[in-house]
Amino acid sequence: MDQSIGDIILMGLHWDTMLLVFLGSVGGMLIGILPGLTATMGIALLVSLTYGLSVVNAFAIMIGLWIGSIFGASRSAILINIPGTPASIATSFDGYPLSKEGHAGHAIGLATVASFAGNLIGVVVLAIAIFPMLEFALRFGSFEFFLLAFVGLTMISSISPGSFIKGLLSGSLGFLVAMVGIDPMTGVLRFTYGSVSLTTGVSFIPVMIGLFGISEVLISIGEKYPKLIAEKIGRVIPSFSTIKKHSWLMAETGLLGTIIGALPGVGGEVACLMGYDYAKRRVKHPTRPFGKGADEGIIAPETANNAAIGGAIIPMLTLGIPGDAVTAVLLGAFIIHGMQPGPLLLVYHKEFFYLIITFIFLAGIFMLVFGLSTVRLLSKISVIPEYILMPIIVVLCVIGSFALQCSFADVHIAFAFGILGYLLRRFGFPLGPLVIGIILGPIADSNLRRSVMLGGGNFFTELLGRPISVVLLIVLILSILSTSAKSKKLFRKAWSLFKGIKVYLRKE
Amino acid sequence: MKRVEGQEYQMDKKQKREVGVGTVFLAFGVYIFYEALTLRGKESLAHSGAFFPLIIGSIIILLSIVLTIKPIGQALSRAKKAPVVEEPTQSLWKVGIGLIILIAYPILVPHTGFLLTTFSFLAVLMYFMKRLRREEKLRLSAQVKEIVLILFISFVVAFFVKILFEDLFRIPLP
Repeated sequence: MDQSIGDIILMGLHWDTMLLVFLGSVGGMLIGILPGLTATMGIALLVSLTYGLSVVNAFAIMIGLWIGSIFGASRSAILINIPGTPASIATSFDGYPLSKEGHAGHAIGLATVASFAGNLIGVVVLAIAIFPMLEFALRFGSFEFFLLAFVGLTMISSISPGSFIKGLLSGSLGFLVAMVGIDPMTGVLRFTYGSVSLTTGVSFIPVMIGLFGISEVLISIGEKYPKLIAEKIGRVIPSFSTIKKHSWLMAETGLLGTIIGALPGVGGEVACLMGYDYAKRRVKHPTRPFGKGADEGIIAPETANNAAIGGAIIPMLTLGIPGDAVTAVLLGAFIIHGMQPGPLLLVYHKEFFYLIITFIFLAGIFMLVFGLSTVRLLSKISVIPEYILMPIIVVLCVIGSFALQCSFADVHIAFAFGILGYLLRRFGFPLGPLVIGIILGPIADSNLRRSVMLGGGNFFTELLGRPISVVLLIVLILSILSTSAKSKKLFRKAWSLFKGIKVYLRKE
Repeated sequence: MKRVEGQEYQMDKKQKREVGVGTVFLAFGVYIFYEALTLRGKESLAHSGAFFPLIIGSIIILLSIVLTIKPIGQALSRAKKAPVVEEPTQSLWKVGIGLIILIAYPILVPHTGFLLTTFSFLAVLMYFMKRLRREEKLRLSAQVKEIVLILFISFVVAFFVKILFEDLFRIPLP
């Protein structure tokens, strides 16, 4: 598409597209506020429901929903101590104590402003880094893509809740699910068991709807949820002096969040926890002790988790590798709309990048204004009882999985994966690696076989002769070793020894 | 780990569960490995559709062996362990009944129509989940009020969903 950047941005600022970004943002905020609903679930439902829209409008509403859900999740974390999405876990550490003292409005105001700042920083870094990253990504061959798929899986397995082994098992299941259907290289039918509907593989969106929607409903049936009471609000908009005082912290945690978001398989959850940890180390004199309502304890995680959005888009657009579960679903959306994710996506559809930046920026502004002006109204929504909410989610899941191909087979797949998701969660297996495995499975499979064919009898010689492959191999080994307690002990001993040698040499 | 006098190597519930799960995955991995072998054609292994499933099957087998052995090793270990915190367990019968209600919904929709089935499903599941959460027995008038409220919400939601998706967004409903 031969258009100037200005024309592309104007396309994104068309009134109907802006309206969709706004509606997506508001919907996302409602999803974020309600515990039990996640951005991944919302976007999975939207992918099938927006199938009839143009790809630009479909992504406008999905990006809006993504941004809105991260904004909204902080509200339930602050008001009822239950983060709306995992990316706001750390916000509750200081947000809820402030809320209990009647300063919920102050906490929400800080979270909203910090979220907007993170959003802005993420977009700026994305705009600067994307094309150099693309140049780098175009040097990736089949060896590198195969290794990157495993790096993404081991990284998300190492940071997911539950053990590393369970994360890898979950990811392996994801790889297996991706292999169902016709093998693209040989035409052999794999794991279809004679079913015609499985010949084309397992539809990704019903799988997501089942894993994140149906399984959540089953979990809520089995568990007893606490009675939800929202705290009083008080003053909302933070003063200019407060914002100015914390501007450096926002800048630093925004940059940190963007870098973390850019790592394959690592997303907002890690960014928010690392942002909080960074603030604890960096800020010597917080407004209050951390854990007791420090402003910094709200600002840092919220800036980081929103900045991670911009970061997560970098590997998604340049490598076709998801940065987190949400970008994994967005990659599925690209495929459904006929666009092949990977380095060539931006080569042939450069306009997409500028549109995504426009949507992220617009959604941030909408959330800043809408979020600050509707705090009292939205706080009532966070306490809707789950016995009303969960049945409605099931209806939406059935509609969402049916709408894609007007097929009940997809509804059955959604329910089957809902039961699988419930069982996995019940036994402590994280779902993130499963999702990543489904997306990365075809990449790992085809690139591994291509690498073996290219390498002939010298696969390992060929692999070790490529600098990027060697770096990825080292990262893979380190990410596996970093999960082992014995390895950590060994590293600490080696580090102490190294420091001892340095001191000795200086004295000499 | 629980230490009972005279019975040092006792596994707690969580460890037994881990062994069970590991065993299931081991059996699954072996099955996948076997199924993958049947996919191989005349071409070499590395070029066939069986290659990656064989690798994944092997990985699952190895990981499940580790998952199974780890709790046994912990139970046999003489080192002092921190007390095991049992996570809150889910009530299986509640989940089972809920699952039956959930599965009945897509099965009945083609036979009884979207609106009626959705209304019935919402009412039944909302009432079931409300009953699960109720901490004390309610008087008859309060119970009737609760049922009327649930029926009203179910009707409004079913109707609203039909209008919104079918008429406004033109999205096909099951």
